[in-house]
Amino acid sequence: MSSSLPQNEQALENRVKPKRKSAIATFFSNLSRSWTGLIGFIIIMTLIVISLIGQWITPFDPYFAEFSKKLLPPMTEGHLLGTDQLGRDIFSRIILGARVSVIIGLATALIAGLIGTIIGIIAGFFRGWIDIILMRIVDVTLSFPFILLVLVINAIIGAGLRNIIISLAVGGWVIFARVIRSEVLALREKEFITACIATGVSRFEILIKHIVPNLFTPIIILASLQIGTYIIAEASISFLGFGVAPPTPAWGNMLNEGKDYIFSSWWLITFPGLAIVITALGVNLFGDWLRDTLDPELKGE
Amino acid sequence: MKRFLIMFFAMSMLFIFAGCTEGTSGQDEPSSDGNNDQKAKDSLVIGFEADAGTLIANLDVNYTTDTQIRNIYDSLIERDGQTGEYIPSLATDWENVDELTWRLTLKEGVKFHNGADFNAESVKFSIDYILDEANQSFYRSRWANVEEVKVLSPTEVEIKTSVPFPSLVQRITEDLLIMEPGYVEEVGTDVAAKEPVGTGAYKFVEWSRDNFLKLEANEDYWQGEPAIKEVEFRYIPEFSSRMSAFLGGEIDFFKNIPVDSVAEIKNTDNAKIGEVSSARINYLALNTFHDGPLQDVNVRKALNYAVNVDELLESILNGYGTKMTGPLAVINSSYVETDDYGYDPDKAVELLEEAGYDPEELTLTLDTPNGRYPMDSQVAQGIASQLQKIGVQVDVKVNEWGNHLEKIQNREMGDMYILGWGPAFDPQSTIENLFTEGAPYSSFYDEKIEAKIQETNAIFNEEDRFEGYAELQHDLVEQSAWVPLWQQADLYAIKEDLNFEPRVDEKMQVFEMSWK
Amino acid sequence: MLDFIIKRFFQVIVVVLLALTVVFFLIRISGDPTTLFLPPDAPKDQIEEYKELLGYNRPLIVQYGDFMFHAVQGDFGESLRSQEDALGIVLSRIPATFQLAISALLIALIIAIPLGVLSAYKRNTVFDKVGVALTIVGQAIPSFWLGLILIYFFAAQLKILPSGGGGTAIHLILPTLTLAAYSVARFTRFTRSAMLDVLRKDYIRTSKASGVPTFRLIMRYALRNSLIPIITLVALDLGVLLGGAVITEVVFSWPGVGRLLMQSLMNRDFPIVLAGVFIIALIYALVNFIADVLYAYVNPQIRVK
Repeated sequence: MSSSLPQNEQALENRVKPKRKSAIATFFSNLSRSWTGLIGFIIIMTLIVISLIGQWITPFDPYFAEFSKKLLPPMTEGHLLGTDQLGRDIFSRIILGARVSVIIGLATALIAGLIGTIIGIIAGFFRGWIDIILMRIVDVTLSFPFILLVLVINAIIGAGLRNIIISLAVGGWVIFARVIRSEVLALREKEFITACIATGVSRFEILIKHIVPNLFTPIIILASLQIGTYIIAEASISFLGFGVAPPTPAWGNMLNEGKDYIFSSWWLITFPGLAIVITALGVNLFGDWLRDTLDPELKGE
Repeated sequence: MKRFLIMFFAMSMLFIFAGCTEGTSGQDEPSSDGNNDQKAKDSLVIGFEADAGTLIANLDVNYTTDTQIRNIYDSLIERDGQTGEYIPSLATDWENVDELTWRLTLKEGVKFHNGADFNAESVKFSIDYILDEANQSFYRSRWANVEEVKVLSPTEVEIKTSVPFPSLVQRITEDLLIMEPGYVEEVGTDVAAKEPVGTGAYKFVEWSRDNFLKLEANEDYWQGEPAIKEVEFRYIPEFSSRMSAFLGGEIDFFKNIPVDSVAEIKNTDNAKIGEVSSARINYLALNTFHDGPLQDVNVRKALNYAVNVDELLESILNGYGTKMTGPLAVINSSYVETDDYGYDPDKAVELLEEAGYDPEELTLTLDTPNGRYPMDSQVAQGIASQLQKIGVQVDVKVNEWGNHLEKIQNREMGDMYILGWGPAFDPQSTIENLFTEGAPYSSFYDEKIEAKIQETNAIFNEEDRFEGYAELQHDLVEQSAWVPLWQQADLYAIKEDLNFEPRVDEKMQVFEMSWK
Repeated sequence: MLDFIIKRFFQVIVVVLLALTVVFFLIRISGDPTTLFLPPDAPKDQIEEYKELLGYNRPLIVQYGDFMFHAVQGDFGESLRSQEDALGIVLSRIPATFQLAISALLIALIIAIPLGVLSAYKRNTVFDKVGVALTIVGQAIPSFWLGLILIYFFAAQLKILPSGGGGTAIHLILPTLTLAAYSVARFTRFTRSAMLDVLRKDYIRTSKASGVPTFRLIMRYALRNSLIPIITLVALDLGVLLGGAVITEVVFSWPGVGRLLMQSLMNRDFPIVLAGVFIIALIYALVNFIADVLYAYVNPQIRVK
């Protein structure tokens, strides 16, 4: 069977291959043409690097409480962004906090993306009653504001890095499922798929060889747009006292700990918040650019 | 199109306007309590962290409820605001007839807000309300030993208990508030829970859930006319909001100031700090139920030596707190001085090695709530830093309060945890609820000590009883049952010209306050 | 059309009931709240007795059946803490939340629509570019942090506005601004692109060429035609607004449903949590329902799908 690939399929493969070769070069040449995309990309790369090597580049131990030096304002005694209520270096804590944000953004996108994609494929490809049931579940999940859903789930299952990822994924997979399902539905109608069906290629083969590869673009676009949402959602929930629990430094819980000092020590709430804004900005800019580049049809939506 | 836009804007303005007057705002002009300085001030606004659960008495054990409704209802026996000693209120006298019988003499001539007389029937009714299962009072567990309340005469009641129950006086003081039977029976508990009637210094005016509770002076109050005529408890959960409301003159005082904000308030015009060493104690529990090194008395002793309580008090709490050395606070009626372990890291290392542990290899867990007690999670992280100095690694885990409590009650805690207890006036309630096998709050248990506790609790003779608790205190220190930390300091931000002495029992009795 | 409405409405009911089911089981699996409400010295047997009284020791499925049976009649049980009707408590907080959400929505619209229109009209000028940059940054600012910053400036530094509590117009300012910010950014961006779409259309170009003044053109045709997608977006964004309101209410101590829900989650007052979930899901589903119906009314082909 595999030896007798239909001709138009062969042709399609040939058309796709040369494109892949220069993918990285195309990526950067496209990127250099958009300053917003470039800024986003730089922010994201910086963030990833910081989260990887963060623990070796912090000027102070982010966990060490030196009480005699508590609440020092920025730029004193070597503390670039000052110290917090326990005398811990805020700059070091922000650096280490980047890891939490990156882990949560990526892990949630991965888990939610994977679950959502599988469910979207099943619903879109097999249709019928399974589609109806799955989409009803999607409707239920969407019947709740995202942040509230995650908050309620996290409050119930308890704080912690793992639990917040679970809560975010539970709230987040639906959007993938919905988008992927409609992509699959659209793909099913495409000529080369109907041709495959006509020539008797098995459904499984069609799925793996022709549908799944075509889903990568929408998945990547969607994931990159969702990561910012996840990072902000985690910060909000940690800020409310659920989410990531101290002493693990996360930007959200740093703000939570700092909010009682708002009248005396402005730096406690300023810098972790700025870190969140810059991160979300970077992710959004890059996501927008990615969408515009990979899928011009969606532009401006 | 233009017309449409004009309409749209008109509608918008209307909506906003309607929004602003709807529901809450009408009665709540800030000028009425903030800006009329010329007129002699006789109203008070208290910034309070949470709404009352209900306004009916004897139902919700939460302190936020009790603090507010104690201005509406009176108790039979009160505490002195500074010493914590029992003083008569609606009951003029109380005595033991025998081990199972108590007799209370009541005050005459006291009237409820609705004009009904206070008498023995209202006392019986209030206690029966707690005991009646149908009411689902959360106090009932504490009153389970009470068998019957008998009305002897309009001014005399007799309380029968099923077992000798020396804590009854404490229960009457801390739990029981007197309701008007006729009123509750007439309107039903649902209405009585929203429009309370008591004998207290203040009458109910209005209650807007999660928003405010307004009271007015009871001019015929049996202890005299209250100086402050109008009281409002305004519910503002966030500290930053309370603080800005205070600085903006919207509220006249509030409680629970983070120690690091004290300076800010002191620097404000027309503001002062009220401080009192409260009857709530904070401690580091050493869990002997957890299968780990803390089952060894030497390890527990080592931790007592390794934790520098003075440093924690000074550097984290800025000195606001009273150091404890044993199981009871100075304010406790049975307090005796016990040995202070003091800070001695070398001794700690020595003891650990004696117990067969290498400090460098030892890792312990420490759970703490966040924001329940003054600087609790910071204190936990401070303790972790101190133990690190002798090489012991500590994993600090910060829990949301509900989870923290649940972990304690289900005995799911690891090695150590931070907890508070209060009010700790009475030796029995503290020692029995902390150091017995059935009580999870210190997670310390020792067979011999348990036996001694049970023995002492049943003693009726005052002197023998005192002796028993004194011995227990020494034993518990000897066993290193916990690492005692401090008596909490309650900090209030108060308007300069308000006369208000913070009470040791956390109550806010507006009757005791006045403007200068 | 009627068919569509009925079908869609039925869906709303199913969705709300399923949401309740999920939260019910999540809550019950997470443990029971009895111990938080009893005094700390309550002995074990008393705790058990309360569990029995509150029905927490029955089989889960029985509890569920009982709960649903009463819930569909609007009875979510009594608040564990105050023993009042849970749904009633939640409903009494609705006006405050609506007050906040609606004023934020209106402020967002009042700012965003003219801004978006102007931005599109002055396309590619400095004004437009700054506007677009601001909307991008605006969407990256988490509302709770914006709230803190506003508190810092207006309440802590300048001391001209209260940072929360109460219910007067002055107390409403900061929370409203906080909640509106994100929507301003989103609506401006959307209005701009919707306007650009319309401005590109042939009939606008023709009119422009034939000398109709541009401003009149925008007011008369372009804005009107882009209003429908804008309204749809607004309706769909109400959910985001409701979610944001919860956090804003907590930051500013605003006495609405969100603060109640947060407190009840912390206190484990589960009947209130369930009633709150019910109300929020219901409002959200109804808003989406209305948005869908409106949308279907405008675009008849949707109905077929």
